[in-house]
Amino acid sequence: MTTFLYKPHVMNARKEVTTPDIIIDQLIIVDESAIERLPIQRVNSHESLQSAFDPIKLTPVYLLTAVGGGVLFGSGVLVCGVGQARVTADCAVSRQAWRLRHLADHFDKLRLAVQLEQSTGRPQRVEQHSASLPEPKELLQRAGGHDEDLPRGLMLACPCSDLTVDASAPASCEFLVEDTRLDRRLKQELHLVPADFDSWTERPLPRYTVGPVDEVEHYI
Amino acid sequence: MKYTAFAATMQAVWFSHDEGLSWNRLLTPTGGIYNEARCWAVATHPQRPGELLAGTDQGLYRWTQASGRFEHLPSPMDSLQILQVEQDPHDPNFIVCGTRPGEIFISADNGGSWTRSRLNAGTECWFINTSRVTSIHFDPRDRDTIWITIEIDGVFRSTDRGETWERLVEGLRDCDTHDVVFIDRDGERRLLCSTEAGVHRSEDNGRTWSHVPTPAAPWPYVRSLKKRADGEVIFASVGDKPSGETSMLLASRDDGMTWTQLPVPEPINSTIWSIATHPSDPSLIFVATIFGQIFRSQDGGDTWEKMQRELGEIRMIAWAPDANGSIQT
Repeated sequence: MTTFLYKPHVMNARKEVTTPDIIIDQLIIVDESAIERLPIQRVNSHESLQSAFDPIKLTPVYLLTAVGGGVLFGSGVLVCGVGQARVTADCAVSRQAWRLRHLADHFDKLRLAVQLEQSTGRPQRVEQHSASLPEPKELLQRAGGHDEDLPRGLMLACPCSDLTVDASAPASCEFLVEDTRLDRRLKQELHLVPADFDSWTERPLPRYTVGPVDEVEHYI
Repeated sequence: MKYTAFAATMQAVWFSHDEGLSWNRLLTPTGGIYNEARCWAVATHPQRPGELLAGTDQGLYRWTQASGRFEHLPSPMDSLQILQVEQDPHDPNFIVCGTRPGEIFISADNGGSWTRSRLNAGTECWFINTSRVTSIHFDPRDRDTIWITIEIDGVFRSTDRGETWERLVEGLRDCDTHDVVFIDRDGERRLLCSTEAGVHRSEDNGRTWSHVPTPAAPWPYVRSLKKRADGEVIFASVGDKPSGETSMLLASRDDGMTWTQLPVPEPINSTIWSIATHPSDPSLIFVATIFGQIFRSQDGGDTWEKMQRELGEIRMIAWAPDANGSIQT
């Protein structure tokens, strides 16, 4: 059995932060046209991913998770090879999240943007307003939720399709969500490197070190 | 009787082979566990002398006296904190583990494979952010029934060996529950549950609870409850607050109706977090404070002495007779 241990830093409207640990065992990608389940082992909180594909498609998603005290709103990025099925993507989940009660009150006040920098080409910036996204309540219901409630263990990933960009690793992607009502933002940075990238200029051999070889009289 | 005492601490498991006088850990290179792993639970079983299960932040481990080392048991709990471990008194292969986040995992094959129980404990908790399992008990009267306490979500009972759970909190002043004892006498059953708001009693198998006044204790925070192995005394540890700066140990000889303070040497530096008894000898009891003090009684709780060695943060203490043969550490 596989799960993803989601460890968000959750900010509420008063800017207080809590740190619940939440077991996620189902990630559902849901938009107006499809519902897909991403194998949970592809979900992580890495800030850097290796990619075996070129080019890669980056699809920012907003994440909804219900934990009992209001829905958690977070950000993520689906990363897969161009032309590959979305369910083969990795989903990099940010550890920043907002707690929202009455999601609908906030949802029409969100500005989303993706900034992409890569070694080839000029930086790209794409923006989208949440008003052009499907209502989260509808997506929640499509995925088995009710109102703003979701069964435990589920995380919904709702693609922000207008923000989808193609990239070639190495690349850096910044996904920004601004809540203009409460004047706060979620910022997720994701770095993408080719799988054959080697940060060591000269890779050393590992060394085996022993420590005390005589009897230690007083061992902690 | 030769026995070993075990302490689950925030620096792995400590062993005492001289009745609590001295304590040591296994060495990291040969012990099979990182000796600064955070360990919350240790469990022994009368049918498995010389064996110990340990719940840590690095997974579940089994120590054997024969090997003198720990072995990691792969499980879905590897990324979680394993706070409680219990084995079925009738079948040591049946292992129940409780974690943070508050989940229950069960193995029926001695740790070879695991299932995640359908426990709907609180997903989130304002005060501690994430719920956690504080105790696991196999019902002494019914082999299919398991009880757990969850901080901060109350008491849960399963009557189908952990497949499904029922939450039983009516009458609890506080759902920060820590421990349960069972009093089955003359066909009647009484349960006691320790909580942040004192001891509670149930006369209807957990369906409803009522608060039990404990005037002997100046504070309401009751942590551990334990019946002496002969069933004649129930011990309760009370602290001035969680973690705390002082504590007292209470005893009841009338099934929890009245309580008296036991003469544990002072100063006690924090809440007594764990009480260790074993069916092989009702007279031997260890208790440990969360901030490292260890006290021992060899007369069933009438008198106590403080062990000189203090450890770091102790989460659980246990003792068990050794298996035949020499100790390897």
